[in-house]
Amino acid sequence: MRKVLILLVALVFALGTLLTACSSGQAPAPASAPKAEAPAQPQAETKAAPKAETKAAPTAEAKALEPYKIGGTFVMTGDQAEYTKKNLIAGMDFAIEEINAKGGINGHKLQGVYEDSKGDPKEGVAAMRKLVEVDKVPAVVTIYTFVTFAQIPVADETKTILYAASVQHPDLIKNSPWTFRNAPTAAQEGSYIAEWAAGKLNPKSVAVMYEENDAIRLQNNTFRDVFTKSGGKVLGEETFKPNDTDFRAQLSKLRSTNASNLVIHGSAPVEKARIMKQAREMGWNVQFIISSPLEDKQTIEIAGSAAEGAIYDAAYVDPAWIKRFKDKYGYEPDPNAAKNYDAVKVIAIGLEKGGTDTTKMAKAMTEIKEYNGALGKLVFDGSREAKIQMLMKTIKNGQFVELK
Amino acid sequence: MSLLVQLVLNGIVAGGIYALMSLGFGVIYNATRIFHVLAILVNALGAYIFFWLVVGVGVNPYLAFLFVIPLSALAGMVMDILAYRPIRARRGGLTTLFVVSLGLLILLQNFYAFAFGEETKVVHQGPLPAYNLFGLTVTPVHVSVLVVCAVILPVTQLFLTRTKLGRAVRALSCNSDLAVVVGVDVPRTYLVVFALGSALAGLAGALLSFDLGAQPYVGFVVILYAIVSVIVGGVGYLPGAIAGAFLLGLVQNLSLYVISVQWQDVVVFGLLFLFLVFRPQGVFGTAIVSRRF
Repeated sequence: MRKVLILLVALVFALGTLLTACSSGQAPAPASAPKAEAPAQPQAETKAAPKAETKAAPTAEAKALEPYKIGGTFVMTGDQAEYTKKNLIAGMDFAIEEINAKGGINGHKLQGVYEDSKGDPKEGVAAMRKLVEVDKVPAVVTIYTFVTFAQIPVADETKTILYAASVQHPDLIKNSPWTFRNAPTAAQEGSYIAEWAAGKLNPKSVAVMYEENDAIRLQNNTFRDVFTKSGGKVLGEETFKPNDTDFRAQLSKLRSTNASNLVIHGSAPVEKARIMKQAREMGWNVQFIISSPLEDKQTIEIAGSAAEGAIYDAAYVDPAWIKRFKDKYGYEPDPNAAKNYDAVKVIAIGLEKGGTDTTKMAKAMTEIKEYNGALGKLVFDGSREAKIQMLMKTIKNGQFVELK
Repeated sequence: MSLLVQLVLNGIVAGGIYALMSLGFGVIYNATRIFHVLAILVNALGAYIFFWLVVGVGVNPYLAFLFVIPLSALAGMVMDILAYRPIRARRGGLTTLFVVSLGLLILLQNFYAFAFGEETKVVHQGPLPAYNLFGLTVTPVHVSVLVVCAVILPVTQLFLTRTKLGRAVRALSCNSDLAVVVGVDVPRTYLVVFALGSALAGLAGALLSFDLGAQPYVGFVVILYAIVSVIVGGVGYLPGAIAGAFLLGLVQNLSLYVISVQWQDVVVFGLLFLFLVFRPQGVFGTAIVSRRF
């Protein structure tokens, strides 16, 4: 009798694991342990695989009005979940609703399907597989270098367009024929900040805090190269990891260099806000120069008056678009929201010209000479990487304004 | 020079939070042998209660700490009654109890996330006013931690040594079978143990919340350090655990004087590794053989 029970329990477990592998990637694991493995989820194909739909253009009229789905893999749990919902997903939904209000694409409504990558490469791959194999999306919008790079083999294998709107690693475009982006590379951003700093700072010396990941490290290297070549001096460098909460040790060390400017390179607003707060709590009135993203309500919530006067770089975003977003959602969007909005619109152009045939979509998208979107003027012109405009901004009275 | 002193201060403050947590965890482990990871939950609960009291109700932060104590204690007792007692009644072993603890932790942490949202709930917007004392920066967080430790640690010590209930707890920690023989009311003592341990964990959570804000997953890192403190200080010897905690905080912060921040965790767990290999009984090892808490 006991053996039967054990067998039954084992069967239930196995079934449960299979089911979770096929449902959304919201496995209940403590997200605060970044290296903890989620319960082993075999990347199994859906058991109940219905009639295998190819990605070719719809044939029968029964499929003519099926919605076009665009997938998204973002961090939907943990500290960044709020930021994701309000900017990354809202940006996409904004574009989707606008397109649907105008009748969709060739009669097809657009639909966004979002899965949790948890900022982890393994989860990102699982989330993407679910979107591709279950929802049959032709394109996935994603974020985070290390997640995206893990997803590239899936994109190559399934011929799915991988739109990493804000990923800045330079290798993104050359590692796969399916990747797209509309963001400056980390190197571009690093050099943009360095050029500005070299031009405007006096004394020309900085301390640096940067996040430990490939793209940010590259950004910092470029920053250092360009800054020192223009005569600037880097007095000290300290690092931090994503999801870190205590930066006082690094700040104490950097403070002893007597730098009057602190450059912060990071991939999310939360850590930067804490760094500013803790620096001011220590009584260090250093000038903050920060990379994007920074524009988030949590930044002001956490840093408060510490953020006042901080200078940061951002992608240019069309003020008219910002107003439209604010009117609809009630708060100001982060540039990443604009990037994702444009991602959807560009993918929509692909869908319009190529249906769900991803080869045709990609071709149509790269052929875009000039597209006017939330980010202002985007130029693809044969490349899968759009050139965008940038500018320096600052925080004044708790508001994100252009630096004059 | 002042950098060094500041790091020492930071180390003592960090150690203080670890001390509260390791004392809480240690009391429960010594008396019941249960690896009570649900303490993480109490920690987070303390954080949220503190947040709610200060931001929602408008209580002065220092008073709010007082309120956190009975509420966390209550939560701990409820956990014992609802989660562990049924298992013990069915003669469940320690492994089973640990699995129950872990399972409930995962479930309830996500419940927190569901109920309160994923984002950090900040107690104080912007930087806290800091005071400059002899060239050192002292924040209200530093002060709170030091005051709480200075009060709570001796009080706990007095409770465990001078009161009848406290002695019952120590009897259980020493030898649970003999304790029953001499008339210790085991279920009631268990409740006391959980109340005490959870109150400490909740306080640690409230202090963390004061510094960093309340978040569903707070407490996981702290309990890791608490466990390291318990092992380094000597399993079963509570003052050892406290000493271990302060040692850990100091090592963690002072190591920054010579190495980069990335290596902090390596230092902490390297220390643990060294102790496990060369002196598994902890710093106060010999004391354990003759006098267990």
